[in-house]
This record gives sequence, structure tokens and C-alpha cells, in this order.
Amino acid sequence: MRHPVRNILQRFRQRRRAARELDEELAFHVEMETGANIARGMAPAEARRRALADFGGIVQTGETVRDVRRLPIESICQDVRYAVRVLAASRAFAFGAAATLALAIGVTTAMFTVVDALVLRPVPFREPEQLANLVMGTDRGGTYFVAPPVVTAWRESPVLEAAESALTTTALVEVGETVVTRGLATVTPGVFSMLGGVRPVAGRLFTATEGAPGQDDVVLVSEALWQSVYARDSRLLGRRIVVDGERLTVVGILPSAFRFPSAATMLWRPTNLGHDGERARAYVRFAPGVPREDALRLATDAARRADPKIPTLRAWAYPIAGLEEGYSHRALPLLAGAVALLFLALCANVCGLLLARMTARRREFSTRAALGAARGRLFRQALVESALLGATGALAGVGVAWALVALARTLIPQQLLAQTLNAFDVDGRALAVTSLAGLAATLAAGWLPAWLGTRLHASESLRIVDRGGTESRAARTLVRGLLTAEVALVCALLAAATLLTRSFVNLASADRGLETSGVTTLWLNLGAKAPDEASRHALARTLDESLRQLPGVEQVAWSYGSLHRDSVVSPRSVDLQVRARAPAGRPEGLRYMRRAVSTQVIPGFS
Amino acid sequence: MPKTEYLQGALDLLVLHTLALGPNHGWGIQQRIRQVSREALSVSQGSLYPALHRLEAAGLLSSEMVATENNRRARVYTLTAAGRKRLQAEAADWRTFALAIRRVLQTG
Repeated sequence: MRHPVRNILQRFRQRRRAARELDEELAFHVEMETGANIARGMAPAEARRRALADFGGIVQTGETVRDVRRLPIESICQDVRYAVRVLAASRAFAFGAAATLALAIGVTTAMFTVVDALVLRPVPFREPEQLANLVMGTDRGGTYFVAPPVVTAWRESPVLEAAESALTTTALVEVGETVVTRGLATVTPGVFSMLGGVRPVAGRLFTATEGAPGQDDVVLVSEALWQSVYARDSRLLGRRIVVDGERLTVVGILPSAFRFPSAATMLWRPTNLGHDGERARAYVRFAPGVPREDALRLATDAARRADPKIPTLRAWAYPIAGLEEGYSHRALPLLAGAVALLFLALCANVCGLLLARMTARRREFSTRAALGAARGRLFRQALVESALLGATGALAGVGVAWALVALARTLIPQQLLAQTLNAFDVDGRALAVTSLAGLAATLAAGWLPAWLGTRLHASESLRIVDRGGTESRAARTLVRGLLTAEVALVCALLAAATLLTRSFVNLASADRGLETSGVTTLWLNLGAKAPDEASRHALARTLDESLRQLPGVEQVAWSYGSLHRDSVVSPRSVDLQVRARAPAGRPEGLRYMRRAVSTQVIPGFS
Repeated sequence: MPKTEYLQGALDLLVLHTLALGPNHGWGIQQRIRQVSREALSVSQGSLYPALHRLEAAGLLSSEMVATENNRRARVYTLTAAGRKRLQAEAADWRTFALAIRRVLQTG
């Protein structure tokens, strides 16, 4: 019992011996009977003939005995072998049904993964609804940044469980001879315990004192960076790497699933917010049980006391990730709904395929019933066959889901993908639900022919089949009803899916007030090469001239810092942004302004 | 010869009782039942061997392959303790049943 596999193998071996012994046993019987017949005075040949005749079919007896001895698993194996032969015989059907199912399962799972990561559950931390990005502003907007004393004041506030800071920027990482650009976050050491459940893959997190001037030459790196740049070199821990020209000691490696404050963050440096002119971006965890409005009012008071320069601003809480309440937030669930309907339609199609084969299958089932197959056995056969089909479809579906999610990772725009802090992997729950639903659909559809085929007496059922399908009234109504319902369902589902997709397209192509076609954005990270504004301007002027001479470039605009990414010009590095426009034959100046005032910059802040 | 449907229910009982007298092989059991019933009961092999294997699978019999004098191997069945218990129970049931039938037939 402890080793079920070994147990079964042993029983198989025993069974082979038992079969040999059964033959011997029966042969012995015939021999004894022959001997007895000879003793009664028969000729040897006649004696043996009589013994065999008397035996009533040695093969049949053997078969009956074997049935007594047969393990249930053997007959299931037999069913599976038979099912494989049946499906192989009608390859086009099997392939069509399995492929439809695979597509349904794969597409639905991939879609759910995307919606889940972007809309439903973008923050994979403990009690995500208590986490927020706290900003100071008016009802027309504000700034992401607060003065360090504000963070300290919030940390001491009873309505906030924790208040930490995390600022993102890009950093130049020197690896041997080459330099790579990666997202870097400057964080207060307490940020990891505020998020909860962050465990380094190797090494440690920051200690409470790290980040003070003189103690900030340490860095945490992401497993993703460790893998892609350092080839999982175990000696990276404790080594010094060069980031933005500074030598920093790697003290820990964080799992690649940990993404904070942005999906692109690969390096984390500590700060105690005590550096000259440093700004903070506050991430807080609200204390449980305090109404959000009261908490924000108290946070406002605390911030105003800590920073006299902002007497009119109020505290606002923003989710730390997830799509903004923009068009994609509405569009993605629409698309997901369309895909869910498509899933149902595809499942209905698989059922339809199975039902269409019913006449042929009915004949076979009736014949087998007439030859003496037990009804239960036929049922099991039908179930095994559909289960095999369903399982093949589900397995292929897993593959399709993986492929689609991998594709989505590269195809979904980075800006959209950066909205989630999830690792964006195939969602196991969605896969389980869709696979089970698909399997259930095939099982239900496969079970029907067996039920109809074995419901009547075998002879009657055969007669019906041979006469070309004069079924009993009830059976005819049932089959017709099912097929009609199936076709109606598919039509309705397709119509609904089309409408939803249409709505999605409308939403996606809605005028966002910007003309983005032909606009290309480039970022330059100058590192320590252009430390002041004058040198940045000089560099920009040289680049500007050569860019304008490129064929096809119509306009070039520049900005320092980033307008639609929320990164900052940190004292350690400088982002230089170039916007080039390809010819479109329209006056451009105005559009540029509109693009610059995109939704990412909160208007109205002085 | 009695109709086989009477025999069907009693086959297990007959086999168990025959083996209570001593271990025996299938052919021996068949001959014994025939002799003891004075040729009245004939168990067909098609019923006997499945029954033997079924009873063994149920743990009422045990068996082993034994070499015989004519250089063959025969499967010899032995009653187990569980089989002996079952025999007593079934025999008691059968006696009650037979008595009841006889009583019914004697009236009128």
C-alpha cells in the first residue's frame, strides 16, 4: 500500500504467472476427464473429444475466470487504448475538437492573466487596499513629491501604519566593458517591511541605519538583473558594482517577482532622506479601522505642520499600481468579456462536433451492446474517450496559454505593462477553471451517444440505425433540440463577442486629444558626463543639429526629466529626452504642446 | 437432474462443503459433488472455475500449484478459516430455507 506503483507492477507480474497457471489448471482438468472417460471404456480420441465438449469451451471458461481476476485499472487501460484507436481513426475530427478546445482554454487563460494583472489585482502585496501613494495637491492636481519632513511626520501619525519613500530613476550599470541602463529606486530601508513578505533570494535587505550619508554605498539587485547581466554568478553577493560611477556593494538579491515601485526597477539603493535637497515620494500603509477620509484629513494636517510651504494642499491617496481610471480600465474588462463569450462559443462548438458524430457512434455502441457489452462498460468507454479528447485539448491549451502570455509580454506596450507590479505569469486558477470547463463540456457531449445507444434493447437500437435513423420520438426531439440550442448559442455568443470587441475598438480608438502617430521618443541617460545645465544644453545642441539633418525628421523637441514617465532628475543622473517627429504634412507646434501636457503630468500645480 | 437455477445459488455452498472435507483440485471437487449427490448434481466447469477463483479472491479459499503423479501441475484449493465460517453461515441459511420450502409444500 505504501508504494502504489510498485504494488501495481507486482500485480501485473503476478497476473502473468496466474494466466499461465490458469491454462495449466484447465488443461489438468481436461486430462483428468479424458482419463476418466478412458476408464469408462472409451477410445482415447473419443474420450478427449468428449472431455473437451463437456468442458463447454475452454477459452470461454478461461475468459470468465480472467474477468473475475481482472484489475479495474487493466480494463481502463484497455479503454484508453481503444479510445486512442478510435480518435486516431478520425484524425480530422479529433484534431479539430482538441485544437478548438486548446484555443478556447489558452486564449481565455491568457486574457484573464492580463486583466488580472492590470485591473483586478495589480498589487501583489499584503492587504494591497491599505497601500497607497500619498501626494499633496489641490483637487486639480498636485505633485508626486513631498519634502522629507512630511514623510517623517506621516511615519509618526497614528492613522498610518507606515510611511516610506521610493523614487525611481534610471541608472547606468557598468558590467565589464559595457554599460547598461536599468531602473533604479532610491528607497527608505523600511519600505520592504511595509509592503510585507519580501524575502531576498540571497543575502539580506537593508538594515535600519543604511541610507544615512556615508552608509549608502550598498545596493540590492533584482534576480532578473542577476540572471540577465551576471549569469547568476553566486559571487555577485558582497562584490562591488559600479552604478552611475559609484562603487556600491551588493548586499542582497531580490526575487524577480518583486517589482516595486515600478515594474522596471532592477536596483534598489537606501536613503534616510537626509541628503541635501532630497525629495521623497511617499508610499504609505493606512492603519486598519480608520475611515479613509479621516486618515487623509489627519495626514493633511501633519503634512502642513511639517512643511510650511504647502499650507493649501491636501493629501490624496493614489493606488500604487494598476491602470488609471482611463480608457484601458474600461476597455480591458470588455475585451475579457468578449473572450469569455468566445470561450463558451468554442466549447459549444466542441460539443457540436461531438454530437454531430453521434449517428456513427450510436451504431457502434448499439452493435457492441448487441454483442453483449455491459451498459456500464459502454458508458465508461464513452467517458474515457471524451476525457482523452478533453485532456489532449487541455494540455495543448496550457501550451497555448504559455505562448500567448509570453507573446503578450512582448506585445503589450511597456507603458501598459509597467502599470502592474505582478510578475505577469500564466494564472494557474484561470487555467484550472477553463480546463475543467472544457473537460466537462467534452465529457457531457461524449456521454450522450452512449446513453442513447444503450438506452433501447440492442436489437431495436440496431434496427433503428440500419433503417437510417428512425429514432424514437423522444430521442429525435432530444437530439434536434440539442443541436438547435447549440447553433443558437453559438450565434448569440458570437454576436455578443463581436459587439463587445466593437465596443473595445471604439474605446481604443477614441480621441485622446493627442496626435501620437509618427512621434518617437528617445531617452538619453548622461550619467555623470553632463553634470550641469550648461553642459546638457551644449550636448543637446550638437545632437539637435544632427537629428534635424536625418531624412524624415520634421521636428525635434527636448525636455529634461521625463514627462510621461514618473521618473525624476535625481542628483546622481540626468535624463535627456528627445522627441522626433516624422513627416505628416501638418503644422505641429500646437500638437507638441498637447502631447507634452499628457495625463501623466498633473495640471494645475504651481 | 435439478434445474440449474436451483444449483446456481448453492454452488458456493457445495464448493465450500466439499473442501471442508479436505483440500482438492477443481476436477476432484466436480467428481466429488457428482458422486456424493449420486449423479443428481453436475456442476459445469464453466461455473466451477470462475466460482473457485471468485471465492479465492474473496479470501474464503487459498490455493497452490501442486505437482501430480502424471507429471502435471494442478491447482489445489484449501478452505481458509474465513471460508469455514462462511460455510457454517451458508449451511445454516440453506437448512432454514429448505425447511421453509418443505413446510410450504407439505401444506395442502
